[in-house]
Amino acid sequence: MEQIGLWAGFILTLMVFSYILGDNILYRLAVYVFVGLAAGYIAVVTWDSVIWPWVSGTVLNPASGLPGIVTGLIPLLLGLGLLLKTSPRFGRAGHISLAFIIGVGTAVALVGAITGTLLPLAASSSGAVSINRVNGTLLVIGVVCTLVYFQYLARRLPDGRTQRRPHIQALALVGQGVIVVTLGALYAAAILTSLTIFSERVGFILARIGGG
Amino acid sequence: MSDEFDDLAWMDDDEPGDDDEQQEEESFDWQKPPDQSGTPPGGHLGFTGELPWIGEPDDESEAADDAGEFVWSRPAGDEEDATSDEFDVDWLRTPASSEEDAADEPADSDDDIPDWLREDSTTPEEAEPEQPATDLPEWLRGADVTMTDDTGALSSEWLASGSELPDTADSEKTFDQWMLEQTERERVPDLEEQMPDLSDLGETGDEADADTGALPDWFLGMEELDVEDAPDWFSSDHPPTADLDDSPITDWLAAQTPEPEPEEAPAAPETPREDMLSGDFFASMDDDAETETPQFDEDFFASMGTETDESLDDVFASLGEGEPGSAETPSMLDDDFFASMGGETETDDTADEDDYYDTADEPAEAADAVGDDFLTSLGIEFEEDTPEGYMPEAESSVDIDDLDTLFGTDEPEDFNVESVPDGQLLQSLGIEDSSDEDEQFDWFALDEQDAEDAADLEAANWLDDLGDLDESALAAEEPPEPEAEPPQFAAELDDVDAPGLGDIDTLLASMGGDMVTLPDTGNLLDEDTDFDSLFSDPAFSDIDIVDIEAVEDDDLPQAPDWLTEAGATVGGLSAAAILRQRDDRPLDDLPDRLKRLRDRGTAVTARASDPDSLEGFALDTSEINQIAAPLVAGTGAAVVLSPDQQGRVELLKNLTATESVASIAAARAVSDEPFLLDENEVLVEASHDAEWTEPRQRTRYKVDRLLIALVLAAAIIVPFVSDFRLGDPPPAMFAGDSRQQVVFDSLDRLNPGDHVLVGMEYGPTAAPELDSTARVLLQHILTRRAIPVIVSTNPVALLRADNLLNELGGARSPLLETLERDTPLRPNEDYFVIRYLTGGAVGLRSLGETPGVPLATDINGQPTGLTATDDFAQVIVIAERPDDLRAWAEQVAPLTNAPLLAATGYSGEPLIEPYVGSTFDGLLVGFKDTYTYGSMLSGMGAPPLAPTEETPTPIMTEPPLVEVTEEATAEATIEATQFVEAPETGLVIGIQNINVRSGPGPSQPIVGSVAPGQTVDILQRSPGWVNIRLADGTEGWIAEDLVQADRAEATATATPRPTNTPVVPTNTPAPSATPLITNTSAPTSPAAAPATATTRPSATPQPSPTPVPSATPQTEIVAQVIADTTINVRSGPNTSFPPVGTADPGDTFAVIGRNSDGSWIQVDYPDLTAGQEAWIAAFLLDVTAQEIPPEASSGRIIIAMAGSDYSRLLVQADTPTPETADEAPTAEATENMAEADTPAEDDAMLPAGESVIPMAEARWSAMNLGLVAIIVIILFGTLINIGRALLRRGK
Repeated sequence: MEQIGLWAGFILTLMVFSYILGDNILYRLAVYVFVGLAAGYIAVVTWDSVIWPWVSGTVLNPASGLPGIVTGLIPLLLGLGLLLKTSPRFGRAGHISLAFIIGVGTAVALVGAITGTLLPLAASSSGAVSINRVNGTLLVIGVVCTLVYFQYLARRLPDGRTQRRPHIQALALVGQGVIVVTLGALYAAAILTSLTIFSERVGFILARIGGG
Repeated sequence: MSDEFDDLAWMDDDEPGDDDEQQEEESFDWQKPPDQSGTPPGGHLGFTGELPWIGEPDDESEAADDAGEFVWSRPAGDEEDATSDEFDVDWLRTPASSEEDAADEPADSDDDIPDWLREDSTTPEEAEPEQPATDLPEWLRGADVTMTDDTGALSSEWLASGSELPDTADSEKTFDQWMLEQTERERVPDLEEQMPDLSDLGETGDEADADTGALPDWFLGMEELDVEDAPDWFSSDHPPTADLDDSPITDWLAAQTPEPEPEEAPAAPETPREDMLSGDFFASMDDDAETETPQFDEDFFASMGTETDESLDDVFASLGEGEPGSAETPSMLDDDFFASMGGETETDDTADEDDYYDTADEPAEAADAVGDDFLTSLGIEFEEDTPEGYMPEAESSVDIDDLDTLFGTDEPEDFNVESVPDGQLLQSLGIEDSSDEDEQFDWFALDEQDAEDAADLEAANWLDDLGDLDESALAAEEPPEPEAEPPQFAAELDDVDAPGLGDIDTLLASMGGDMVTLPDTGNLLDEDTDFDSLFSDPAFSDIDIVDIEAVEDDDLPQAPDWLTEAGATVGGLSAAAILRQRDDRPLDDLPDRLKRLRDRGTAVTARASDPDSLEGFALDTSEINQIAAPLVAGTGAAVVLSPDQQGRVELLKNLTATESVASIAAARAVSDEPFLLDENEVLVEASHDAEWTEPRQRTRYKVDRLLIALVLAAAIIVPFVSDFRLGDPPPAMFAGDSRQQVVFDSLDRLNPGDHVLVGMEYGPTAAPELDSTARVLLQHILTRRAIPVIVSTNPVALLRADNLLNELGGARSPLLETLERDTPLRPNEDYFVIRYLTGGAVGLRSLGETPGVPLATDINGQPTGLTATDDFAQVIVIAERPDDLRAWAEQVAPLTNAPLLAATGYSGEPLIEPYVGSTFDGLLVGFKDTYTYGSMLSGMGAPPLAPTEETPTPIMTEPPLVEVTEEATAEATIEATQFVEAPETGLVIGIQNINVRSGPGPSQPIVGSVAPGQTVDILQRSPGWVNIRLADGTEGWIAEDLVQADRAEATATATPRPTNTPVVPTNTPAPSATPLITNTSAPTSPAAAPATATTRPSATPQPSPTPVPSATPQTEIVAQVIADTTINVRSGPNTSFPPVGTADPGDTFAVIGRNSDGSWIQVDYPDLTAGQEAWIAAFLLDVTAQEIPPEASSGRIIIAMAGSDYSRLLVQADTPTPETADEAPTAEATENMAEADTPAEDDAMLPAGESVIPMAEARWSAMNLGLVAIIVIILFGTLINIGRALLRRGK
């Protein structure tokens, strides 16, 4: 079984690599297989490890009592509402579910962003100088200039054009440079990741060919 | 009816790019005045395009517009001309330009070219309407001549000036009234009178202004041409020498009158107004409607599609087919062309004429296709309030002044005239110039028999097919009975797909017949006017239709499949496709021709899916040339294009050219479509052939791209298939206080039974990169006998983690040996794979706040028994995307006190960097860190399961180098492992590359650099500087402080294999470090030896068997003070620690350990109190490894620690000598050590990380080589581009 899996991986890898010749049926077939398997697996796992344990632990569990049953039914009903979104007639029943999801998701994201990103990063940036003068100073300058670059307050000239103040313009220019460097770093990092993945796959293929 | 009318909205193609939906919301432009429609003169296309030239946008009635139509259609050719040639063009001539004149004087260039090429063309709107005659209805006024003569017939003057008919007229006398008057007049025109006088048509002078509805301007002047000047295609079918008797004209003449009088032919001006509405044409129309209903549908739609100009390529395909001069495939003015333009033509001119003449013999067969059904089917609903909107551009057809007009204007009469003899044409158009009232065709007579003619019903049927027509008006109709021999012309019309009077202008022209009293149509354009109700009037419903049912298909001429050639489309949708969309008729019920048309439409639809794009309309420039070439040829090269006209031609070429990629780009630019010519680009090439062919799809493979990929693949493959290596492998150890070291240390502090929350947030796409990272981290956790708890928001990641854990803890896994267990790891006991966290960030939040819920179930739905995150000693996240790491940092980190660690790929590192230090205590990035981690992990032993005694945890944060006293192992019978002392080497320390200089001093030139962690040979020393030799042979000097010297590099080759004699472990408490000196299960190469010999102190002492090599000299690491003065010895690795003593220059101490970055060395300092440590700054010491004589070793063994600069020391104790337990912790040796397979052969030794990461070294080298390849490719491409730019600039 293990060998079958390895050879399947070998073949599928080659099929994916065939994209180098352009879009073709082999590539698409491999993608379809991946997508299909992933979808099927997710569906099974969701039922097996999420939905059914929940139902059996609440609704179908006599020990949970009425509160437990009600608690267990609420998410089920909300999920049912989402399913009804596919029906034009009963689609409105899913609005509550959507509102719940969006509202909770937004709240969680907002709270998390404040407590997990803004505050820690602000503290880290402000304290960077004390840790390392050079790097800290550069960090603070980069952060400030980048933030300045993303502020859009400007004077409107008589001819309709907008113009920032010179010092703001200068800071924004530096911030733009920082952004360029950042994007360049991101691109380079993406290349490294691609190379890592490519080398691993090539090694895998060669190992298969070589009998490894 | 309105619905059907909306459905037909696509026929209005003023905006070809509009989709159907949009067009449905629009009103028809032809219903608007010219100044409102926005349609260029003559620009109305398709079905509606036939309306404009019928009449001006008169606000009274469409009848007035008919006048404009008829005038220009009035026949002018005499009989002689008509019979002189089968394809006489004399009828096109103006009266002033006789054939002789044409031969004498060259054709005026302005007259020879179509209006759309004229720069001074006059639009119909520019024509000044003349004052109408007072005795005429206003809608017929416009010419300053008397319309009728004494007999009441139309006067010749009036007809001659018909082209000057006014655009508007009042409604003093309605059309119906006037028609009634005309009907009452009896008159039998003779042949000459019946012959249409086209003398006015060709006039370009003041008298016959073409703008008023005469022949299109581009025709003007052509009539002056002699047939000899006509192109081959113009006459090949009808040789000039053709026998007159065989000529269809002759037949026609015979049919019209037995004694034609050519000299009276010009008497056309006397043609009464009522005669203008010839019944022949309507008769033929009836035949069409009756006999060939399906074909009628098909042709009708196809013609509409062609006329609507929505698909220029199809139009041009029909235009450009064949070569000029070819009789079979005339290129310009052939039937196909006209068919595509006007939907009414015939390929067989002879048959056309014959049939036409035959049709003329059937004057009594009135055409009732003008009935309400037909118009109802067309969805036309006249509006009384806006009469001017109806047929707003009566004369626009003659002004082909723009592209729309050229390609889309439907002017069947314009083009049919060439294939129809002189008078017959006009008769077919409703103009009967005969003065003989007896022979006047009373096709408008409300004959009951005609009313019962089934032609109406038949027409209704096919119209119903088109537009779900209301058949109520025809429900009571009886099936038609043929009254006469079906005229061939009708059959021909059927074949030519023109629904006879499918064009509104002809239809309405027929309405002008003198035999019919039509309802009041004065306010047809009012919005409230329902055309259905209008034509429900008995006056219309009673109009009979000639039954031509008896016409056999065999008798019909071979219909030109111009539809096939044209591939008529409307806005990217073919007529067939539109028809297909209708559900009122099953597909199977369609006739074969319509099915074929449907198939063709389907293909066209697929080809031109974007109606806004000109791509689908693209065609070759040669086709554009072919448009003008026949004109030039046909006019004796008399056409001279002005610069403006030439500019228009060039514009047309630019808009439609597809010969090159640049042309496509231009076309797309026009259509505001982004030009993305990528691979698999589908280039639609216009069809040049008569047969429309499927667009050829040409896949363009990017050769450069393929070449780059091959080069890159070769670079990646080389390290796997050869020993070629590029670049040094990653360091065997992380730098001191690096964030990577934090990760290692954090996990290495785990105690058995600790739970570690591991977030696996990556999918299959990142698995090749992060699987290795997950493997080393999980292996480390499991090695520490901790319990990983895997969670993820990605179910697929959990699947991978489950497989990875099964592999790590499988039956044959080396990890089991490390863990001293025989059974594989068990899920939900040795590790947990929790069910995935639904909701992304919300799921993570729930994990942080209510961990009991998500942790209660594993991936298989089984209960886990886990409760809270507080139980976790560590939290580590392995994520592919920065967003996932950020979500963990935002949602989980604030809710747990456990240290948070992270691991990600290269692509995620830049964006997660800000969180390192503030949220994540440590971070592993990419394969490099994984490699190093694996090296550090290799050979690491597991902590004991049952520690006998716990030693105090060292105060220092970094594990010290452990000096282990070997004792109580005297019984051990391990054979001596002989180590061979290596030349003095040193390990470069630091956190960044160090310059190598040519001499001892900072001012010396730099000859190279060396990375931290590299091993160098120490050649000589100078105060503060060390002469080293790098691995590549480079020699130079570096600061002495940056090299940690050692010289006990063991060489495996000289090491005898130790025996596997079981080692009796001592029960002496040992320091936490597990001596991995004997990591023999995975012999390592010298380069990677440091990690293999590592050991980490742990807080749990463990018994360990002590290898007792016999009679083997051992080495120990000693540190000698090299400072000039007395130095302090401190209690910790920092100057903040209080001194515990001093050391003088030259003092030598045994090295116990170092801190994480090697800047401080822990030494065995005497006179320390219990619990005290002694630390000396590294730069004040000269650390070396020296051999300890067996007799002097006193049974002590120096065990190198993990990750130190001294890890390459393979220290072997001599004969063990028990020591007191309180002197030093007993050295710990693992079973691996006891079973140490001495490094056997060099070639058998693997890099440090190989045992953890398969092919780690090859992968690393492949990455390096790939990077080099990429850089080379980029540079090469840049140079090429620069060179090309320079060349262009030079040019």
